[in-house]
Amino acid sequence: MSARLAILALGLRERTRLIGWLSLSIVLLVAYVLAAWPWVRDDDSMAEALEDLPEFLQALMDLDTELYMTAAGYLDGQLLGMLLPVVLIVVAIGMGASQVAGREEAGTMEVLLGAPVSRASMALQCMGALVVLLAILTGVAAVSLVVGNLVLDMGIGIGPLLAASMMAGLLGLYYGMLALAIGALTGRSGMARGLAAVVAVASYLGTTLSRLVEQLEWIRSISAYHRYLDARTIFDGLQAAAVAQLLVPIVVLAAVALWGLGRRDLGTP
Amino acid sequence: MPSATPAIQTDALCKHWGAVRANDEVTLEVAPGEVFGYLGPNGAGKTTTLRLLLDLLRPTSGSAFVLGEDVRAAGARLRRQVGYLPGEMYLWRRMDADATFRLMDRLRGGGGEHLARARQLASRLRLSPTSSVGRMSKGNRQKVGLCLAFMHEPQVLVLDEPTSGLDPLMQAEFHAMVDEARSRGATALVSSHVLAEVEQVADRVGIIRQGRIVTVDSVSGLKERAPRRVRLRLGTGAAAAAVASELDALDGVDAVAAGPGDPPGSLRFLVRGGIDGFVKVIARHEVADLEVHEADLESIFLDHYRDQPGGGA
Repeated sequence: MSARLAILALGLRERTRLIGWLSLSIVLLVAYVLAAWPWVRDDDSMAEALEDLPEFLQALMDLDTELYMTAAGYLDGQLLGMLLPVVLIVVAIGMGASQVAGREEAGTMEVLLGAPVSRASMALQCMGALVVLLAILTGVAAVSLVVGNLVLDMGIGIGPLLAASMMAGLLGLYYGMLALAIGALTGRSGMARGLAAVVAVASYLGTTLSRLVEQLEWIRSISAYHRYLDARTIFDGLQAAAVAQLLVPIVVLAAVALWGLGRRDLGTP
Repeated sequence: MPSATPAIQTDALCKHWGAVRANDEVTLEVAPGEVFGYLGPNGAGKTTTLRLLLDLLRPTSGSAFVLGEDVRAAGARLRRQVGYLPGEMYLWRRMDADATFRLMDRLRGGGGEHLARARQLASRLRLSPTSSVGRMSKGNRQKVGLCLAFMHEPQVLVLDEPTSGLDPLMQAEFHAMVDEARSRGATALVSSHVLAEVEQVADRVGIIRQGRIVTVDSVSGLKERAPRRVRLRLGTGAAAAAVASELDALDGVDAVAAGPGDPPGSLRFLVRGGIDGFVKVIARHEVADLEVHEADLESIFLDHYRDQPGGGA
């Protein structure tokens, strides 16, 4: 293996088992959600029950009953709107915080940087490990969705399924990169994990509440979660503008991480 | 030592964290092929200098050069030529020693050559390559660190407390490794808080105290300046207090407190330079017992530490 990628590979090898367990969990999660689809589709009382929900709850859930009763709408409401992104965000924040700050706290950063590895290469390989981890998990989710879609004859196009998975992966990457950048700036993994998690939760809550409270609508403009939901990828397919809206801040965070790690003392008490 | 370009050079290197002056105008030169002992009590600033040389820390002011290149500007390329042993050896707990060697071989682009040397070094240091790092003693982790620092036969070795945790047999093996590196022309900067640890390998010694270099000298030069420790017991007829103050007044003679195990009536002195004056004074009195310990580097080392707050040995 090339010396250039040894740290990227190390980041993944340290988590071989975790990646295995997470992949299995994602397969089970997708299977669990899809398995319920035939009942939802065939049971008219489901639509009635949804329509009977209080209005504020429907607004809070951004519920369109008619849409929800379609395969894509069901998938959006049950899996893509929250469950899958949350799993990916949690994993990505953990990985992002551990790559730079976690290594620094564990003392292994000093051993790695004692070798001929530049700080820029270190930061880029840490980002690479985060991207590959998310690509693997997103790929697992996409394959599970495509297979489930075929088996259950849900009639959703493969394109939108792959695109929706990719967007969930990008959303995870955004928060993972945020954690990595905070870690690169501060060298503190607890702060990286905590702050990124707070931003993710605030982003989710803000997006949800902004449907009810007009004064909170401004949150949408800064919420990555809103951008993800607003793209409606499972219905509309992949759109360059939606991808760019997530990708640009990811690149900005990556640049911040590169700058942060390059400028400061490493591993100081 | 005369040489065109020092292998290691620091120029008024300062590293301050607020009011803490971890390194204050540290200026050092280590010639190619030289082994330099870098001594000081814990917290004196040794590790800070070493980490500045590795570009892990950024200086407040001043500069550091290795093999004639600014460590900040040369960056990763320069570290191909450097073998570094951190003061605290943290490794990947789930890896075994051999996996750690393979990782560093890849990082150094060794293509297996460095790996083979690391395995040889492990065998010399009686380290099992398959033992898991997580279950290793501090001494064995230190051995892994030494293998990593020496595996690529670097031109410059920067070793922070290298013998820490090693038993005397392995310390001797480490000294042999440093000797071999020196004989192939490599330079070493070896830090320690105990002089005896570097005395056997170092050509020159620098002592740092509270972030400042207090002395740099050859080991033989230090020995010449080292005080003799003298224990004297006078016969019952002599006026001990008067003799003690007479001796204390001599140039280069300092009275020090008697040791706890000393027989009653014992006097202790540190005698720097010639001992002739001392002997001539006591010759006029009845001497019951006299012990003169040969010049001891540890005492000059401690001499430099004395009177500093928190700067015990």
